[in-house]
Amino acid sequence: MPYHEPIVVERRQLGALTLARWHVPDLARAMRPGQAMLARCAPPESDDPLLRRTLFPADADPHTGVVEVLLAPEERGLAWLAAQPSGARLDVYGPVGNGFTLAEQTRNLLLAGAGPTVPALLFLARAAVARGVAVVLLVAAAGADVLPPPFLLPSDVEYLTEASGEATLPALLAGAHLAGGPALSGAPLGWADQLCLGLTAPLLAPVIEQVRAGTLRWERGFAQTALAGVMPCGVGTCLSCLVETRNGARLRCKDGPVFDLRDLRS
Amino acid sequence: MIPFWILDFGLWIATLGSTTPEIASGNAASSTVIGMIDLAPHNPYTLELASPLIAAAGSLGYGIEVARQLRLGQRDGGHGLGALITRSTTLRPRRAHPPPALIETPAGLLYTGSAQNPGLRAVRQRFAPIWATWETPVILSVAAADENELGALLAELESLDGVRGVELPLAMFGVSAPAAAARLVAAARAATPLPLIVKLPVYAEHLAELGASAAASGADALSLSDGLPATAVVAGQRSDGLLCGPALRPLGLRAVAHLATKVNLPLIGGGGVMRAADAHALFEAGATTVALGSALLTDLRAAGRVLADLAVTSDSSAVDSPDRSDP
Repeated sequence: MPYHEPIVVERRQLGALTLARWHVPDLARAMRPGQAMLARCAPPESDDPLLRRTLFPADADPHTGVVEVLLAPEERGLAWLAAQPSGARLDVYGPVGNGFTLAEQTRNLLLAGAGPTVPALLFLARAAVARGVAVVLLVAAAGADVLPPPFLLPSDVEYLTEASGEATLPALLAGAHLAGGPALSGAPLGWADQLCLGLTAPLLAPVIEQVRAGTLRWERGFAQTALAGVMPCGVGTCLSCLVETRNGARLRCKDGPVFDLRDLRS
Repeated sequence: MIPFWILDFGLWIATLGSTTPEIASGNAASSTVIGMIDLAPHNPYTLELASPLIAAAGSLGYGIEVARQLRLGQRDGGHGLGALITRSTTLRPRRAHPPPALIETPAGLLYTGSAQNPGLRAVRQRFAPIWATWETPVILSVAAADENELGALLAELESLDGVRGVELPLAMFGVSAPAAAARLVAAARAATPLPLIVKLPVYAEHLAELGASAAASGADALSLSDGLPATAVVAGQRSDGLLCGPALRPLGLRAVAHLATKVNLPLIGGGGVMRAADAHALFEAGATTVALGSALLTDLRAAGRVLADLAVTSDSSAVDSPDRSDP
């Protein structure tokens, strides 16, 4: 069973975020960008909180065996996890679900997201740059202190942010707030030949609408999104992470958390 | 008085606690003959379990989802489970509105949408043929709109090799009074000869009478406990559901202790069991077997770990109180 006991090897405070590096070789080898993991967020003797928290790693290095997580300690479970010091031993289940699929022919990759899935985009950015893909990352957040710092990204990645709320993500996608770097002479969607998103449920409808408005043709595989949300069991038994798709209800933990945007109902 | 389970369970644990290679590798002669617990000793079909721990209804879905990980096909797969009770299943598929959700509460979970299930056809065509190949018995939890629908559902089960027993959760039928329970259980008994476990709502006003009426109407075993009807508020929205998990542990324990002295049937105890100590308390209160729900939902290793810890506890108590194993 894919249970792991990561050991915290580093912990840094980055604004309101906590960057933690965990040594967990098996998981670091198995994890792909967009896949999730479920972390127990209570000491062994406690039953509270009961549910594991869903995390999207910001990186997983199979060579060093280190998985990197970026935690926003906005509730008691994540606050406990973020407070674990170096040397602490954790309890994590993963990888969970399916990650992003980067097409062979992709040369210009647009990443855009807000909320708990943003670290998955950092992970994907690193993997894409390693393949020689040009990457632009757009992140919307409620404040500058919850934006991932640029040093977490390869220097080749063009990183544009908006700190006035997650709801500004569609506008970022439309290019409304952008100064327009060399890669983005037009709207970001027109530049990209693949789009990978990290969304929360409230952002799904406005982002789908924006993608529809910004692309002439929208082929399957062009736009994928990792969907944030709880995955209580992570194995498809509790049916508590249902997502409405054009093919009926699907489970975020088994069929996702990455879905083709065309399949999702907004 | 030492409950009758201790005889079987103590021997089972003694066997499990042994470190001989034969046992560690799952020697059938040792672990099955000595460890068997029968939840339906008076039913010709019997319902023999190789472990005193059971996956509570729906905690592992239909088992198919986790069969590979837990090696449910093998009795000694290390999963620690003697049997698995499925999600409550109706004659036709049901979709919950709003969709199922698990809302975290202090030391508990509020489960909404427990009615959602794929219906009997899925069980018959997709699940039961696989269950039939497993060493771990599968007990089908059933729900229906009325006794007629229940009869139609149960009538289809006897021919399914993979279904080894039926659990009838009274709360899913809105039944909490002894007379109504008697009618429902009698209808179920008339429709199926399979081992019949009646699950009692822990909040029932007359729990002992409810259990007695189920026993008198043909139940082979009783089960405790269903979740407690409760409400949680998330983002300003109220949600009704069933409260489960450790928050219910004291209620489950009290109900088991109360019922065990009133009804002479095998009793599946439960309610927020997370550790061996929780299971041990239920066994001491009179449970024949113990069901794990939330524990399995959050960690598939839970039953194996509880069983191993029970073995350690049993070994320690055997050393401390050698006379307990010799009644």
